[in-house]
Amino acid sequence: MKSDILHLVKPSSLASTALSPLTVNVVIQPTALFSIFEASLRIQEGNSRVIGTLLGSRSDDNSNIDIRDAYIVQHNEQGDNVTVNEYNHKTFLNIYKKTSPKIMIVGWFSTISSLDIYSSLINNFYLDGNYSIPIVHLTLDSIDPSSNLPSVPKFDTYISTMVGKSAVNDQNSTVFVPIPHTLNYSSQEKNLLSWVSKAKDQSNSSVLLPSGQSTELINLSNDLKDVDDLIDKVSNYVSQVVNGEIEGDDEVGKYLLSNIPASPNNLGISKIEHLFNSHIQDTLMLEYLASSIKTQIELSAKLTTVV
Amino acid sequence: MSLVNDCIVIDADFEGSVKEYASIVDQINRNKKFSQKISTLLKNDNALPKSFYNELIESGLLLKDLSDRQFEPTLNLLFYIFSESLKDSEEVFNYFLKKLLDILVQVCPQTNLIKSNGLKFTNILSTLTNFFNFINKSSTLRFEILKKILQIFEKFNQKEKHEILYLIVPLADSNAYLNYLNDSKTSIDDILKFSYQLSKLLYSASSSSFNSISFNLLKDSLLKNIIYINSNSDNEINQHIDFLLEVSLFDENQIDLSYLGKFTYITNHSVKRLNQNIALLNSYNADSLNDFKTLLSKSPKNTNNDILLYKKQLLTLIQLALYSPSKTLSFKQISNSLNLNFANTDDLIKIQLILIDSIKKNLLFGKIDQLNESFTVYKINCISTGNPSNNLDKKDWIHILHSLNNWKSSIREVKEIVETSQLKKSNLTSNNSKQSVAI
Repeated sequence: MKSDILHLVKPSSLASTALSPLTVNVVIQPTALFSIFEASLRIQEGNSRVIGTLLGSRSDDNSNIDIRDAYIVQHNEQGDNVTVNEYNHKTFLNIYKKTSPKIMIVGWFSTISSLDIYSSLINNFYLDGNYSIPIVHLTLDSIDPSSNLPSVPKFDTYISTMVGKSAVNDQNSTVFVPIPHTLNYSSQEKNLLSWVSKAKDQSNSSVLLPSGQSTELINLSNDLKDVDDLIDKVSNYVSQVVNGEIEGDDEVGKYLLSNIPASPNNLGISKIEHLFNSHIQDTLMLEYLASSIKTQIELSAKLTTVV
Repeated sequence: MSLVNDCIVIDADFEGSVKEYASIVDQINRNKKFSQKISTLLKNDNALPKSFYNELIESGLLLKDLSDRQFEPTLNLLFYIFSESLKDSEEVFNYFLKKLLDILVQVCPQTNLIKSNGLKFTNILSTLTNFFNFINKSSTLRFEILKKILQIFEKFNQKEKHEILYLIVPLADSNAYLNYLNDSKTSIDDILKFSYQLSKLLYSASSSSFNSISFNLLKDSLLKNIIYINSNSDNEINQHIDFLLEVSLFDENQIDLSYLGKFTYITNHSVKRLNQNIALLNSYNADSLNDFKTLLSKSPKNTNNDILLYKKQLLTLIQLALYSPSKTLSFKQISNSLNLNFANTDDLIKIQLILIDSIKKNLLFGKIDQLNESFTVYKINCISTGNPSNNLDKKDWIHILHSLNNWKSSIREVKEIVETSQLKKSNLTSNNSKQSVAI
């Protein structure tokens, strides 16, 4: 991903030992992003933004931060002051801790991109006086400033550091140092996103998932069709080169030469069929067992009522 | 467009920020002279005088006496003062910030060995990266900061450079510096000079072997310098080519040297080593393994000749994998093309080691089957066609078309398998649900 941020070393206010890495890597999981997008729609009257806590994990040396989830924290902006609902914040944190005991606060988010005195005050609330541990601040920008309409969401990540004598005097001055981040999503999440992207083109913004059929197999079948179409396009181009109708691009040719040995023929079609069928049988067996257990539980519940 | 990004949030008015900075300088000086001087200049009813900024710049030299924890926050404050008071005057802001950058280079410790609590070179690096990120991406100052970063690294001795060089690798990785410099509309000449400076720095510190990043950067930068900078003299261009050929030919990880083919036209010039290397390069790119071996035996004895011969063997293996009708190569086929004796146990082991090394070097993806003495190719990452310019000819395109047709039929067969399984699964699932209802 192209980034205009330079990140060679972390700010010197962050604790580091001789052996710890000098950079901070931030990874964002899509579940956290979805929660933040959803949060951006719940802005309270009188406030300029929605804020919330970022949950996740950090490595022992604080060089790797993984943002996995997020929740809204109520706040109130008034004049030069901001009030954060600490009770609401701690209650939600305890609920999350019950399901994932190892999860921790790694930062906070705001649904506006600008950084102002409120950002500094809220950041101080999350820092709790400890500048040596990096607290990530994630800003979401989902409104186009020229038209004031929703636009493609853009988000930035920062870590805070001190300015002047702020640490000594406990002032509310802060420097937000931009740091790069990466988005991390699994293949299952990618499948889900492909259904979401299909829904966005529909007039009612929804798409019906096929019932009674495996979505994985449908996705696989669609992917194979896409590959087939792409091969048709490429073959057409190569045929034109072979017939002398156009001049071939060597870079394209070398890329194709590099990748075409990876044909499914290498494994053997019969072997693929065998592997595929045995995998399907395993899946079916698991589904059958799960269904049997569910029936037994339901039966046992009914018998208990009768007895 | 604003000069800087709003990354610094200050909970005080401008005068308060200046006074805060002045008190830090007073603390170093152990007197209040600086505060008094600045207060007088601040009282000026008109715009702040130039002397105000000059005083601030001069005080920058004193900041080297601050502790490592105090230095960066103080410089952040100083940056804020400049950006806030000169936000309407880009030229003056750039002028004073360049002066501040000079001071940062001046106060940077010239050693990686640090006294506890004292200023470290990473404090300077961190401050420079902060400034870089604070400044708008289209500002020319970003280029100045990158130059200062290189300047700091160049100050270190060879041993220390080796230890700290990893810190600027992100700048070279994926040509990140190019994005920054393009955004700030840096001229092509300046970009080329910068890339050459960066690549030389990386090269000088990784003396024994290149890593792929530094080599690619060096290669790109030299190629671009040779091709684009017209002001270079012939002698300078020949020196660049000689250097590039020498490092490429004898670097054990550089197998595909076809990109150097464009320099083979250079003949009859004064550099003897360059003539010899061009002859070797021509043969490496175009001749068979046997012919290359013969030429190499006639060349002056060089310990690196063994590396070159081994690289040619790897190149021959790639060409065999590329043009073989079957993607499964027997060890016998491989031994014939590499002039090894298949019946000899040592040579058999050698074949397998070459195959393992080709996978390790990321030239080929594939599977070694020791039981059946064969190697199945999955992917070829380094394409070498065997002609000097490494261009594709008609037979290559026909080969691609044939392979694509095979791909198409295979994909259709796999698709049929998936659709049949899909049908089977949905039938079985519906039977299963009927069974559940019956229970």
